[in-house]
Amino acid sequence: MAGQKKTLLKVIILGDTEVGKTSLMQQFINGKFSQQYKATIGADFLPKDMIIDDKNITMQIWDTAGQERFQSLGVAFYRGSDCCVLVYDVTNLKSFENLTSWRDEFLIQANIKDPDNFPFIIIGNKIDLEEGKRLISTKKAQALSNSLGNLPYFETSAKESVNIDQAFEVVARCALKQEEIMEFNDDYTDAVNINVDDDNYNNCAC
Amino acid sequence: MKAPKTFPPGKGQVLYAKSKVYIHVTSNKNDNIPGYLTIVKPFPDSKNDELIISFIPELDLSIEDKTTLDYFDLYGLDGEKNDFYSNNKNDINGKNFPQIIRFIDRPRISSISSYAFGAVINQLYTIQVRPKKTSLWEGSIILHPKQENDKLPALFFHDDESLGTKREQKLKNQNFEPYSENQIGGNSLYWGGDRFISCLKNYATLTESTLETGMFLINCTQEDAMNFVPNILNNDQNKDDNSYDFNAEVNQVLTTAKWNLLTGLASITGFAKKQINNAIDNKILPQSLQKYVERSEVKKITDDFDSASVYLAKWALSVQEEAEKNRKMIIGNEYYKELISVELGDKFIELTPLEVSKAARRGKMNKEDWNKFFDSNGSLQFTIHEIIGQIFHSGLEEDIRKDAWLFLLGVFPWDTTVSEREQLKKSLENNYIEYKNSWKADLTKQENDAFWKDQKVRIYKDLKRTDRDVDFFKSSKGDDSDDDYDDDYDGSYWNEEDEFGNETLFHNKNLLVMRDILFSYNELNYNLGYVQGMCDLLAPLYCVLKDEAITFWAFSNFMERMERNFVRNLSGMKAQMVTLTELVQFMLPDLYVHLEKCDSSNLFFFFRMLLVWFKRELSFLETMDLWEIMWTDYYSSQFILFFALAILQKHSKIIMKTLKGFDGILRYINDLSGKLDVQDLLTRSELLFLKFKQMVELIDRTSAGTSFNSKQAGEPVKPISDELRTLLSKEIVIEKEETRTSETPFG
Repeated sequence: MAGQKKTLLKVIILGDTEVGKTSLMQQFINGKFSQQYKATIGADFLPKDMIIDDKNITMQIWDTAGQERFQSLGVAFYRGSDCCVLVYDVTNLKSFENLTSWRDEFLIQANIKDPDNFPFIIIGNKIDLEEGKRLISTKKAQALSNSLGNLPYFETSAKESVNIDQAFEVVARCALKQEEIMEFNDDYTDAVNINVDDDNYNNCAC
Repeated sequence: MKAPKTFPPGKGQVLYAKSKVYIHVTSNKNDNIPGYLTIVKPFPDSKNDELIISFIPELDLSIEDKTTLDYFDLYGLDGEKNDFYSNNKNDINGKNFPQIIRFIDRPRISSISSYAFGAVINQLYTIQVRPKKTSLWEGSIILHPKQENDKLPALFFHDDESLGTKREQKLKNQNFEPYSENQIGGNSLYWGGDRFISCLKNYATLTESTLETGMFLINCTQEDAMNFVPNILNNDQNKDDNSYDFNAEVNQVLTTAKWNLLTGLASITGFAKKQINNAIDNKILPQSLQKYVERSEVKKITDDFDSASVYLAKWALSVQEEAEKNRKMIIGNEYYKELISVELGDKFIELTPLEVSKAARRGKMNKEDWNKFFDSNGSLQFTIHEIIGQIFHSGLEEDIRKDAWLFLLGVFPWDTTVSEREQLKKSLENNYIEYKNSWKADLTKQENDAFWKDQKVRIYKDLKRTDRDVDFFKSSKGDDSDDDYDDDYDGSYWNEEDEFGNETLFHNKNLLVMRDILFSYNELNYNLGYVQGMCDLLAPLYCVLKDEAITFWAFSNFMERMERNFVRNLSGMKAQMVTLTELVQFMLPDLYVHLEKCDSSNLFFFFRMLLVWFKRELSFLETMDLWEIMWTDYYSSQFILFFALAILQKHSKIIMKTLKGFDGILRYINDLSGKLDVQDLLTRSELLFLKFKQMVELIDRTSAGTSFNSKQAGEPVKPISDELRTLLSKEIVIEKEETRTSETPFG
């Protein structure tokens, strides 16, 4: 039983309003794109089962509202995150400039203990739009990713499903790694908790 | 005897009256409240099941009405039938036969200030009759409304004081028929309530329960009959359901279970319920599951869900709904607070399917119903409480929303005439123009005000994505699925000087009006400004009202109460989440324990639901159905939390039985989107509210120092938190955004 325990990974998607966070999540989980998505309010959650290196994992992907004030719910929504995806729109300069503040805000709200090593991924979305509209070059984005600690960077189109699975596989791997580090730390610091967790798990397994 | 076509204004026609009927408030006879028991036809076209049975204390009556009722009491007029004394016409003290049509003020259904009460016949479930016996000096009746929480007091017939009853007894004795016309518990002597039962039988079918002497079901349905009059049960009754094997099977099981229950026990006990539950859990459902799963339509549905537990939960819910239709007594957890269970009954906290179906909501209010509430000047001729109550219980048909919402949203006060409202409308229109001009005519602001520009971007982005699937807001370009999703947005469109009124911006002129309303609201409430989610709140309003200025004020008023949801620090949302959590703890303790185990007790999945009042979980029209009920503040200004509670209550068994983790619970709740049955949930919300209120009152009473029996000793009484207590208030909770300064961040 214990060997089959699924690893639960929590991933948060952040970024300015209308950069395509919901579209990215929907494309990754349901393989669909719609023009009809409404502005996300509060936060949405969708699970996705994956197999990474023979490991069964369930990714909980949290889509958040773009408007800043809803981020102050942070503590409730961000706690226990294993990875954070920062999204901007390649045709919207402001959304790119805001990436750093999204990261900082997350680190504070989620109360990350080791901020330097917490995994972030940067995604530049909407590359399907015509070249003339694009305002942020790949080079510029890569430079930012590097400056923020060599973060993985992807350019995607949620509309045309470009690079989505690749990006999220990296997200999953980063999250898995983070989860293992956290578990290791927990094992060290609080041996009693393990038993409690195991008990809970056994009660719940059915 | 012909019924009159018109009634005097505000009056109803008396069909029955009995004097010296008492409520025994305490055991001290000095506290007794004397009054009249009446049956009144409220409107000329009221149907039999719309008649009002009411108790009117003597002190509440005008002299005129009292005379009318005494007259009815004494001469025993039996409504329109007038057959009781038809053989004794010449016997009425030599007077001319009295004119039959008499009117009194239309009785009120409820009253806060007095002991008066009334109930429409179709809202009554049963009537319990205790005839006068040698051991019972005074006969009594108790009316049981379908809403089980509306407990009405027993009415005692003081026969020796009632001139009418004394006269009737005398006449009966003269004819050597001293016995009761309605033989209840064997022959009994004629008494005051007897005539009431006979009279009521003219207007409603009374079926006596074979399980409890003196318990009459009023216009009972077949299901009621199966529950309470089992000897009329026959095997043909399930035939209608044969189209669906599963139904039939469940029906059969339930019927058998019910039989066992009813034949084995005089009253339904927790033990018996548990037995039924066990039977269903252990034997019946797995079999049904097999058949159920084999059905192709079920297979199709299941393809959409890859998680076994979610599938199982959905299946279980469908079973539950099926079972409820069959009025199954599913009884849940065994956790009762001793106090509640001793005082209010051991199944009090739960909503039995029976209870829910009894309390089912009325049909929506139509134009005709609505117009009845107003006189020719357009003044309300009923109390606000009455019309609010009706709206709360019925909801509104689409064509009266335009009128009714303006009252509900406080644009027009209820106590105005048509001409006053027209005047008011004019001044509101002028005021709106002012707010609109403060941005529209101010080009400096449009060009230089950073906050304004930021808000503009935000509003445009959201409007573009607001209810575009609703016809009213669809793109005039037609097939928009092929549109470039950013075709309006080239990174700079808001910097362009778009022509106001230029439809091409959203390809929909209604969205342009919404834009103007939101910009103007941004001026009106400068501190709050536009926040994501407000589009959702505005869309249904404008879609119904279709008048820019009026919608603006309706929206502003709606925002008065919703502002707390949008303030920067989200304190209003947090307060509601905490209150909801406490409410779940209080009302659904078992579920709460389970949620806690699953790390879901913060109920965060209700965040969005509460933020925009279920707008995203319901269809556009269902949203309207819900909101107008909420706007009445009939029971509580925070009734929306009871709606949330009702969702959990409805699904609590499934969640507890089949969902073991955070993951599954979230997913299950998420998947309820688009599948919420608003009417059923509103019924449950009301029942839950009434129970909540009763529990709070009970706890308040007992903690006020009154000694309570020893049974509660082991269970500490839970104090009622301030959060929970505010749920009993109808006052809107107002929380304002802090004053905006140059330091305040945008967004």
